[in-house]
Amino acid sequence: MDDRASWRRMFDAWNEQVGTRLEQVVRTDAFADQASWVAELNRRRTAMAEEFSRRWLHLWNVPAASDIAALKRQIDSLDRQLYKASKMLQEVRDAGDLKRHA
Amino acid sequence: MPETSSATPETYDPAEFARRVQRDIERNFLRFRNGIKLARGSHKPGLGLTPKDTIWTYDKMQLWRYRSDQRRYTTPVLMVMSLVSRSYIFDLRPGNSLVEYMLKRGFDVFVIDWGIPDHLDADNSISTYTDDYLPRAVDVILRTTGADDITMNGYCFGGVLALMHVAAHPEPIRNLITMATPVDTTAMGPMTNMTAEGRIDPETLIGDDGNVPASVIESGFKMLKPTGEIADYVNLWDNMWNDDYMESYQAMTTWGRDQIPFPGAAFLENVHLFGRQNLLKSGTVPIGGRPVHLADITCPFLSIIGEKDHIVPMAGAQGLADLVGSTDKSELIVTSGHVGLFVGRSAQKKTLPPLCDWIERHSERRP
Repeated sequence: MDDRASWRRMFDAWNEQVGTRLEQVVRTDAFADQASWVAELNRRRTAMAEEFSRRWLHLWNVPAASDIAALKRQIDSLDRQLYKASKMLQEVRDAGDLKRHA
Repeated sequence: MPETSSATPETYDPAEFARRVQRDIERNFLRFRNGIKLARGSHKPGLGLTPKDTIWTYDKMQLWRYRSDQRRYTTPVLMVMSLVSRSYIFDLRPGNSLVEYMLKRGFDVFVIDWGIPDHLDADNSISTYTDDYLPRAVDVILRTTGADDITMNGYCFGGVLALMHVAAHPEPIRNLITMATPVDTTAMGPMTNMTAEGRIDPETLIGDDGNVPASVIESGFKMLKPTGEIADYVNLWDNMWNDDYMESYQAMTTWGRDQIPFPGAAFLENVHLFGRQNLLKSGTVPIGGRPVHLADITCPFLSIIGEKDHIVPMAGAQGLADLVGSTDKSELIVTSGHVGLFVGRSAQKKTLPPLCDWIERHSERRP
């Protein structure tokens, strides 16, 4: 005997129909085309808004969020290079210690 | 003799009606109590509780060895996690843990936790993991245990990392196991479809720190089951009275929402090499500036595939055994989903026993 409540049976029936179909839809090429088109549209819209606010802020000699982001990316990149260099140095030092002990 | 019907017509049974009303009242009271606990955030189940030692750290990576006084095999087992999820899924909760099960079966279990990548890891390529991190971790395990070789078990994209590692560095891997590991990315659905040539430029998914944000990864997983979240809430309401269910629910949702950023360079390589060119299926992948051939994997190989896996569908995971060069190779198909392969009651009956039997057959016993 099905012990599920009637609301649960209704939901399961709906999910069986709609959920399964939606899962098939998101796996289609048409969905991927549409979704990537929407994503691209959003990206362009954001880029345009950023460009507009950057120009406006630059008029007043105020740095925009994108300037800060660009600066942060540069600092991050520098930080990465420093980290790699210090890691390499440490390894060379460790190898030297090993040789001395040997 | 007159014909009688075996079907009994539905009759109103006052006793049954009263029993149901009483049950619903009790359940609603328990739902209310558990709902408050959930909203308050108290009573969160402990995750990854099996006692362990961090035996080595390197960059953000940690290597854990689980404590055990019943090790019966000298061949250690190393579990390799994907780059976008946390590795405590291997040891989710007491009684529902792959690690705990393997320890009971007498294995010496190690887990790699990649840590949470930040801007310092944005340049990590697939080669960073397969040619630097994994060989170092294997070396540490061999030195710690005194073993000559190990069994490597990779889950999901961790399986891809394990494959690439073993193909490039066959020694000292005694056995290789992959679980829910993709090989044919054309069958992967939206995860690879969305970043196919002419669609979303993968560079645009990379955040300011040089990695793909965890929120993007989470949306990608959610997209695969559009009604999944609603179904989860419906299941939650339906079972909120059940304390065991609540613990499992909280454990799984905590892990499911605990995605981590995908290191930018590795993500771009993943899209170009696996997603767009489907090179894993061809058997040869350029990693770290040289071709890595899956045919160079000659150790015993086991591929475990979930029949109901919606993240790495069966069609996308089958055929891996045909690409490796091992003579002792097999594919185990289990009726379960992506995580259900090794988490949950069904896994304890369907996947873990054959998995551990296979490792036992291919491991060296302690004298």
